[in-house]
Amino acid sequence: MKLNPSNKELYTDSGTFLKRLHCPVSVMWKNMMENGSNTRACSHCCKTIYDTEHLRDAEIEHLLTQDPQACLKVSLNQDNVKIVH
Amino acid sequence: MLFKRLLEIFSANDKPKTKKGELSCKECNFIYDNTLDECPDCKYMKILTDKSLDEMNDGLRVIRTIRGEKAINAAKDMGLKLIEIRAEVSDEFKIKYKKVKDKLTGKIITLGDFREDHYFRKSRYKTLVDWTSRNPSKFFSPFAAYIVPKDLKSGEQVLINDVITNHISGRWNQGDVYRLSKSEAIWTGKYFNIDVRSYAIGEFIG
Repeated sequence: MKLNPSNKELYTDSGTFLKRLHCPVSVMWKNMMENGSNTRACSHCCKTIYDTEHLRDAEIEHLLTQDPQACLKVSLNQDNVKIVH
Repeated sequence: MLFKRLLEIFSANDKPKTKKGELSCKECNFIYDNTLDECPDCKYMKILTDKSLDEMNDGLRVIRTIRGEKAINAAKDMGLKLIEIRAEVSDEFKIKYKKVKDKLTGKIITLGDFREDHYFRKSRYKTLVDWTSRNPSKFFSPFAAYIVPKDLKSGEQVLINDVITNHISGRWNQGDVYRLSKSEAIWTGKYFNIDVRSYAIGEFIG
């Protein structure tokens, strides 16, 4: 996947827009409780946050098709992310 | 005909002269960089006149930043309480990039990640600008100020949408260093203590 850190927009490697990573409550991953192998629970909005580090583009697309409001966590340094400007 | 031509010449001389890459504001004639969305002078004057001064965000008061002599002087005339800080561009922030051109379509593509290089083979893509970096920090004026609500109490946590001082928001292991533009802060009674961690961009959630 591709991430633009300036506008926080996430795309697949082929350039399909996935979503804009905007959290209005500025939560931190390390402060969240684990509730699955690659997921954590947000105490602010009771949603599950998916760690994208081990997800492929198709899996994220599928996830967002099922739930367009699904929350994702993307780290700047994870291997499956390319940074674009 | 001659009169019309003379009118054109003289009216053209009234307009401020812009250089390449600059625009002249139709409302205030201020000359600004064409990479900006709107005239910065007008943008910061609008902050003084719209209702955003009372804005709240997730329970935090939003502190407004104004930039440029015109807006700062106008704010002083309005009797607003200001914390004036010199806005200086720091050399530590950098974003690397490479520009390539598709030989078939002519489309110019900007790359930001070394790992993308192998997708853009030389047989199809011509390198226009090889890997280099630029400093994205660009302030149109060295004059900037926070508008401090007069009833702001010492110790109150606030949100600053446009941080004036330079703080590192995040580092990428390929060398890019990002500047913190938005942050939570604590009002000490004299200055804002910036909480860099509140909006650091090591990780993105949303």
